[in-house]
Amino acid sequence: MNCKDAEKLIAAFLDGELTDKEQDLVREHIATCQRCREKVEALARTQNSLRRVLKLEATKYIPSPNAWRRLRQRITKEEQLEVTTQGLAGSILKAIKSIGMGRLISRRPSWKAVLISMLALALVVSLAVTIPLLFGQDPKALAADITFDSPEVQAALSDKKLEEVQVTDVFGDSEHTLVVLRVVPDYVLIADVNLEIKEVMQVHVLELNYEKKQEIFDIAKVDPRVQGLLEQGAYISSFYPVYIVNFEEIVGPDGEIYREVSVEFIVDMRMELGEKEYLVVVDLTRGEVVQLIEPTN
Amino acid sequence: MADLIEKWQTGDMSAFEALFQQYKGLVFKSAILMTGNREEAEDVLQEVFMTVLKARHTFDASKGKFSTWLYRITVNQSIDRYRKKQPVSLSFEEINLDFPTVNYRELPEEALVSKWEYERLIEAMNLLDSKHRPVLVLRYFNDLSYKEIAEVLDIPVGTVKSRIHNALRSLREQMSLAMTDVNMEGGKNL
Repeated sequence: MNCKDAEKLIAAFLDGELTDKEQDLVREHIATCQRCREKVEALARTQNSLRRVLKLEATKYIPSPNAWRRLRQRITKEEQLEVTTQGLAGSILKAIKSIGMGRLISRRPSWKAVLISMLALALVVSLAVTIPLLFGQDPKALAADITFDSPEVQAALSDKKLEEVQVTDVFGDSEHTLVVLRVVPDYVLIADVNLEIKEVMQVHVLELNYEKKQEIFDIAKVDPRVQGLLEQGAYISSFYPVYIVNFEEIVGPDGEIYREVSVEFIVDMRMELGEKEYLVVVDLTRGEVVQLIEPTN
Repeated sequence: MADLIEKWQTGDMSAFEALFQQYKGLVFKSAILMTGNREEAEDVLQEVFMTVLKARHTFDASKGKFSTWLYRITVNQSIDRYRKKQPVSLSFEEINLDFPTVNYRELPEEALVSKWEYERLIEAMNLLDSKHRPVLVLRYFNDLSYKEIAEVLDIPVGTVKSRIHNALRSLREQMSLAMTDVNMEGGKNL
């Protein structure tokens, strides 16, 4: 084996990836060739250093604590968009069939025309799928319709661009269907819809504007753990709203079981200190930090 | 694990979450080493698991390991982003690769690398193209064999050998150039 051939095999030789015959040939060559022996030693040092550097480098970074939640919300949004697009398209088609296109536009508030135009393409694409929905409206789509028709919701969204409002989740039962609207990244509106009487019973809103963020920071900085981070030079990099919906069954005076729904908002406040990220969970109802999640390797 | 894979492939979300929690660190760290950028790595993590969910029917456990399939998706997502990046500057602030703030007295000896060597190796890695950088990460971080790397990248083992050889040679050349600069500077000071 000559030096040129041996050199090509040195990395694989050190990695133990040669055949027995190739290993023997390289070993025989470097036993008699000092130049190649030095190359083997130099490459071994490079490989070892590279291993250490890559492993050290990797220890500096961990995935964001919000990674799963972000993924889950994206999955839900994509699933919901599919249902809502088909469902809303179905309900619009039903209305078009019954009252005609011209009256549909003027019947609904003008701002809703924006939402309808967004779905125009989806209508064309999903026509074959939505036709069966004309014979029975999807409850999620109905809940979304009722939500957007509600004067209280319209007032809450009056300063928002409608094309940015997303229906990200719809769940519950016919008495309490929760419709979650988001304007990414800072606004959440949850409408509690009663499908039986077709009304929005309650609206819960969290908007992370400047004043709200200041309020959250004021709550958080009282916590000694957060104080400690701030003293070390940590800064706040982001806020993320999270909602918790509680369903509670209570027995009324008549012995009937009723369901009550409450909505709580918490905020994930991310703090960065050097390369580390900390998640501070602030409960707005209780007005305190309920959890501080430290980065782990 | 086989049970988890089966449940995930039927669309069981809790099984999917279990897979995510089990592999997120590996995917994220591999992505950061392949892209050199934290934000890109966060995006890669999201895209990889969206693909894992949507393409779950394409994985065949009888034809290979789940981890191999996962590595393949990770490399493909990382390479796409690495290719689109502007030429990498050697500024550590821009590439967000500051020297680690670890206490060297507490590290085992095999972990010790000089700061100079550390920085030069990172710089040299950043000069590698999208064909050579992933093979070094898969071999020297993920500890995959050449055969496993070949399966991940869907290339012959011989190609893996030559890419690793060429990539390491490139690193050594860059390190030698850097050492030459240091020596010349020292000479100037004299």
